Amino acid sequence: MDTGTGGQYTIRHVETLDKLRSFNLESICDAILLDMRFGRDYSLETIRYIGEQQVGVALIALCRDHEQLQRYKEEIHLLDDYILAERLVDGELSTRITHAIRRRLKEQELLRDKTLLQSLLDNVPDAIFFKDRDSRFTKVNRTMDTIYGKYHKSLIGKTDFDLFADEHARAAYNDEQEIIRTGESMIGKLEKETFQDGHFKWVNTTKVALKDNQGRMIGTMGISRNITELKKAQDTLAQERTLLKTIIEHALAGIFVKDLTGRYLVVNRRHIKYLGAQTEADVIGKTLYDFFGHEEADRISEADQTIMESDQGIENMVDHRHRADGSELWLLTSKVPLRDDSDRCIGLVGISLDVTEQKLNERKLKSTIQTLEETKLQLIEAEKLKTVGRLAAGVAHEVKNPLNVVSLGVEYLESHIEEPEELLQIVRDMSEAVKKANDVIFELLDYSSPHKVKMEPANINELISHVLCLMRHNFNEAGIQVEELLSDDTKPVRMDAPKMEQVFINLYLNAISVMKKGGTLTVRTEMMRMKSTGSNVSSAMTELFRIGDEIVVVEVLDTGTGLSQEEERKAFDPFYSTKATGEGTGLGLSVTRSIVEMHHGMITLKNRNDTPGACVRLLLSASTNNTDDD
Amino acid sequence: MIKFHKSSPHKDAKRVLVIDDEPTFTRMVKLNLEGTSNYIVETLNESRRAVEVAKEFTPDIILLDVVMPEMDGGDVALNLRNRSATKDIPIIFVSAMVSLQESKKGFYQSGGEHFLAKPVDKETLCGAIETVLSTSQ
Repeated sequence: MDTGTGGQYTIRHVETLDKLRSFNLESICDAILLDMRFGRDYSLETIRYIGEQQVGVALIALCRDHEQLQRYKEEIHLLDDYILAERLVDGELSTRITHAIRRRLKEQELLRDKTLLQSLLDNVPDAIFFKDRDSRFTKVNRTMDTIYGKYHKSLIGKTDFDLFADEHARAAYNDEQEIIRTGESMIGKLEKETFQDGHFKWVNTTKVALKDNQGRMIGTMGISRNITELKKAQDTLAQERTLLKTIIEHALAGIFVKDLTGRYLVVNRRHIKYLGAQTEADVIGKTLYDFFGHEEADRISEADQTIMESDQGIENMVDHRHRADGSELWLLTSKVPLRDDSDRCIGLVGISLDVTEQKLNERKLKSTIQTLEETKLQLIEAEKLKTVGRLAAGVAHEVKNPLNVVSLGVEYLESHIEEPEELLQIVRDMSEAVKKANDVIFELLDYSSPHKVKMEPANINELISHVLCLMRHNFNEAGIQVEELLSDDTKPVRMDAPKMEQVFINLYLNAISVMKKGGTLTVRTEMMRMKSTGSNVSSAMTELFRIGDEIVVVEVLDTGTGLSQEEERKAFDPFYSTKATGEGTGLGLSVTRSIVEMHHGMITLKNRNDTPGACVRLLLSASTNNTDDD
Repeated sequence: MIKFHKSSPHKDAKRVLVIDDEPTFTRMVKLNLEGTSNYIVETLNESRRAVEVAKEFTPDIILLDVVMPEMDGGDVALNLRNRSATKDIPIIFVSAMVSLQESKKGFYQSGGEHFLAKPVDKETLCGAIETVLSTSQ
């Protein structure tokens, strides 16, 4: 067919509706030219069929005249165009077809957009509304209608004042009028929608200006999302947060959270104080190394690492710390690993109680007890020696007089005899003997005069060497080699030197008595730090020493025959002796232990592991600068 | 045979009276002191006669035992100091009844009095006498 506009159409001729039904219309043509002159019923059926298809195919009716067209009035809207055959001018047909196709496609497009929009409006869970300049609803979506239209036949024409209490309606109305006035949008406003019965909802609302095609302001449109549950959850969370914060802030303990690298993430006021800092900002992100000495920080960090690696918390650990300013601090600390949602350890949470005051009181008490014990010992000693002393003093007096006669006599002789040499020698021997007798009397008086226990810091190495030196003769006589392995790091120990000397004299004498055929006596000193109070530490040690205490260890080892089980058990009992009667009283080790205990130390006697023989182990607390320290 | 040469005292030798109930002790003190030629020594074993002997001997100094059976050193000293003739003679008490510390010192002062602890040797004895005499003159 030749077209007036020069276009070219391919024409297909379909005779019956049934035939038409067998085709997919869009795939076979762009337009259908329906000849209405066949008969009304048939034409109507065909128009309806094509209309139902809602496809992008233009439908053009070809009528004889206006009169004939009028007979299809009820379905005329389904037509895209019509052509009156009697008036058809040349070239008009193709132009009309072209326009009909264009119109049809446009309509189709509009329909698609409308459907999309409607589908959006109908399916979003948010309430969407359109309002006129007086804030009357002109259109609402299904959600809006369902939620707010419950008590109204239709929302159209209603205002917020019909749905809500004045409180909200007024605010919303003002917002909308403001938008209309300024054209500015209101984005994501949190609104409390109060209903007339008093209940309320939290919504998040966005409202924008609504303009017509010409850009004239015709009202507003908006979308509201119900966030009541979210808001409730947020409020609950906020409340919990406030509660937690209040608890943490006002707890009568230091609370802190650290990450895997030991940096503080959370810290409360008290803990800030414990660290010697001023504000939270001084602590967050910092580590122990910013507040304590290197050694101390190392020690605590190590413990923290163990907690995080082993995934095992600790409870009520007493922690003695020294702040940078030199002040001391005792904390009773519990720590647990901190885990994330997937149960991975991401740090630790700790709570610390300041027990410094208790500790200081404990110290005072200890010092008092120590004084008391020393006094007690002095009393016992005094009591024991009072009788002996009285006796000794009397005897000494009686002996001193005649002795003085002899000594003066000998002195006289000594100054007058010049020869012979033998006689002179006799006199000198006598003088020597008198001196010895004198010394005995001094010793007797010395022994019986009451001793004051005087505790002063002293180096145990020096004392050990001194006593070894005093007894060198005894060792030589017994053919015993002495080996001194004394550590240079040995710290001073608070002790009563004469008493402690007695300890070593007793230990050495004991060693000599078990090495009659010679042997080696080894004396060793070393420093030890009390690290834990676990099961591998004896209860006696736990009682005497605290974690972090520095302990001086002295070992006296012999190469004798060692100990039987009974000896190991009874060695420290008074009057228990393995020596033959007359060789010893059996008081030696018992006295030794008393003296060690008086020094708050510990003494054990065991067989050696490396070789036959016994090992005496002495543990003494290293003296701290603080004289009343434990 | 041993020979003892008896030395005679210097012309300015000091006169010492030794009072002790033990004759052997006083004898030994006398022997030792006179052996130096610096002293003329009189001994007395009956403390009761102290004032009488002191008046007669007029010593420069008296060595006085404390524990004696008849009259103890304290009373003797009191008697001596109550008599004008003897009141200015300095006294050194010699005693075995002293504490350990005191005996270690040998010669010492206590309560304003001079003491010598037994047993005493010649050197300490002479030293004490010289010290007291030099301060009392």
